[in-house]
Amino acid sequence: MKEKRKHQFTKEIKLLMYGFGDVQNPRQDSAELLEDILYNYLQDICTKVARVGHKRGKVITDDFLYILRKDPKKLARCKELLIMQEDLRKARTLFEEPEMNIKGKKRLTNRPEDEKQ
Amino acid sequence: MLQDTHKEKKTKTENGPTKYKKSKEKKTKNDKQKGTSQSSNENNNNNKDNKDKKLGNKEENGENVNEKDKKEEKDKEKDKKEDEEQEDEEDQDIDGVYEELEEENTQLKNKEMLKDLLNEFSEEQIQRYEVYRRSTLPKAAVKRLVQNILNQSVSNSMGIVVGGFSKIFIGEIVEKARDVMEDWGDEGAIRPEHLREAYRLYKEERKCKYL
Repeated sequence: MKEKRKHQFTKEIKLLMYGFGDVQNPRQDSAELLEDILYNYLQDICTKVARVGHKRGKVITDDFLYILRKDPKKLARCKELLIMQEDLRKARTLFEEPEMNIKGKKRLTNRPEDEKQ
Repeated sequence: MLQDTHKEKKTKTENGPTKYKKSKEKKTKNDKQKGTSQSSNENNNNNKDNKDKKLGNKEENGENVNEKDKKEEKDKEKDKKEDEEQEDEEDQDIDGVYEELEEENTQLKNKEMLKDLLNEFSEEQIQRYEVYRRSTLPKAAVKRLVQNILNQSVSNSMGIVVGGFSKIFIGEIVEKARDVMEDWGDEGAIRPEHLREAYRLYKEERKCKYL
């Protein structure tokens, strides 16, 4: 680990630490150490992913899911995030489509704003 | 993994879905039936894990993790059942419906339990819970970081995935550090020593699970 590396994520990591059980203002050195630990972990995972994806020539999202297969918590969360991303994308296309339609045309599905009301 | 590819071959005639799209089809099916979503359920399970830690209940945490494993097994069973349903309709339809109803029942129960729990929270706990739900690593910076490590372009979904599991990783380390603090009898803010010990314990636990 290079000691000269600038710490990019300090603010966000402090928030994460508070959310997971630390005091409201976590210590600066703890946050920096946690960022270093995170870098180490990501390098570990990414080298494994690169090895898996090397055969294909490039790395795709499913390679990450394969590497995480032994960790049920993380795997479940990643799958959930991908599904949510799909749902959001669909919701956005539904949201934008009616605006492009002609005025008198009926909408087949409700827009998210109409559903909330 | 082998099971998954086998399932994909079976359903290739439909649309050739990937692993996560398949569970999404299941979820849209559930949504149509009763308007609840499975994703929120898994989310609830995750949240319950962390909240129970905060409340100091380690046993429940273990149970929740087991619940999650059972749920994944149930999901796999359900996938298999759905495949069979398409072939033989009458008998196995009933079994499939029963399992779906059972699972939705547990979903509703979990949602209710979560609501009740949230009602009992003190103000400080509510604040912490809100920060827990909303905080995340910045998407652009994570994407850039992974690009630099892999030396190739990274898609948006990869950035999201990496951000997601790094949040969980940080959570595991911080929770372990809290346990270590309890063991050592320290109080107050988490110190670097606790984090180092937590990271060491984390690696030790995973030694046996490695390839």
